[in-house]
Amino acid sequence: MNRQHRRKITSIVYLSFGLMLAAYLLLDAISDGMHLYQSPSELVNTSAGNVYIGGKVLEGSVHHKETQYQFSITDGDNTVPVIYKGTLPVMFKEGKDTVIRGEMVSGTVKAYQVLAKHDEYYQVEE
Amino acid sequence: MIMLFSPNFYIPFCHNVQKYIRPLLYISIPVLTIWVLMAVPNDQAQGGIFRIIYIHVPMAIAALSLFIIVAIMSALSWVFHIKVANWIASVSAKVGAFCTLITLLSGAYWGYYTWGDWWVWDARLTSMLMLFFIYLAYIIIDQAAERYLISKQALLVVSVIGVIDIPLIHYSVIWWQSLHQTSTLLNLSNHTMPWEMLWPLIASIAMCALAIVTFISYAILKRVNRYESSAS
Repeated sequence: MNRQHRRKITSIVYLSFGLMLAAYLLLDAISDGMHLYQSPSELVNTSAGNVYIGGKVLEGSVHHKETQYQFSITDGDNTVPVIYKGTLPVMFKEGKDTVIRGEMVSGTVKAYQVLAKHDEYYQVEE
Repeated sequence: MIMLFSPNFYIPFCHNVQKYIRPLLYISIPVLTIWVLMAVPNDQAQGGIFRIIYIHVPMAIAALSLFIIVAIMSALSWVFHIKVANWIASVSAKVGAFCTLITLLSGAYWGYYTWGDWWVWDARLTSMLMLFFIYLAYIIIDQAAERYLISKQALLVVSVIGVIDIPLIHYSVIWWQSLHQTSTLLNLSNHTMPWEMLWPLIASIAMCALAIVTFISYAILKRVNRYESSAS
């Protein structure tokens, strides 16, 4: 460990701290926008605009006429109705989580895309 | 510690890995593949497609841990001019980039059949894509430095940025609401996975680690030969 080694190690330490500080400031600034979706409670007062909304599909709320679907998503406190025309992913089920990209039109989400969210639990098929 | 970087240690070590671990992998990887495809039960919610986990998770763990190795080795090589650290760093960067790519591709395939889309700009997916680009930047700068015999100082900046990205990838599903599920393996105390699905996963992670060690040691031996033939 001579003088040159020490100089290089010091510069790595300074570089790390500098970039860590920069990363912290960057993340602190963009953190609120990093959520992929918002919950029904956060969006219940929104009346217009594009939204990414996620939550549980309310049990017993799914109705469809051919490929025209109508259902509600909930986070326990608030419920938002969704209409969607198209095919749903296979794992889309009542009581399971979903993420929806769509447009809010007077309190109802007109969905462009419906995604199924699955959790980290695995079970052997019966 | 210094001993590990001495040719008297690592050359016989690499030869032993080739001699003992490599034949073991030739048997155990096909056996494990057949076991995963034939004997592991389907998942209740996802069905057969969940078996992607046996390639996705080992590759993701490898991609993240290889970058830590790349960063440590490039720092050691820059500060102390350790030849083998330089070799390990540049080989690990290539292997790590490959693992990141496989993670992204297998994840896209998995997501297509479970989520309903192959790509979403989710924090987890985006930070993993960032890691892939950081690996590519590392490889390009490393090769340019080798070719034009210039200092690898710039690699330290890429390394530190990548090391900062790694906790970001890990915590992205905890800090932010995302489509990607949280970790199964770090939540085993809540019975996230039954044993008959879990042990092949642990085995595939171990196999993957051994395969990477074998590949890196093979590449190191090739570089030793090239170095010795150019020196003589």
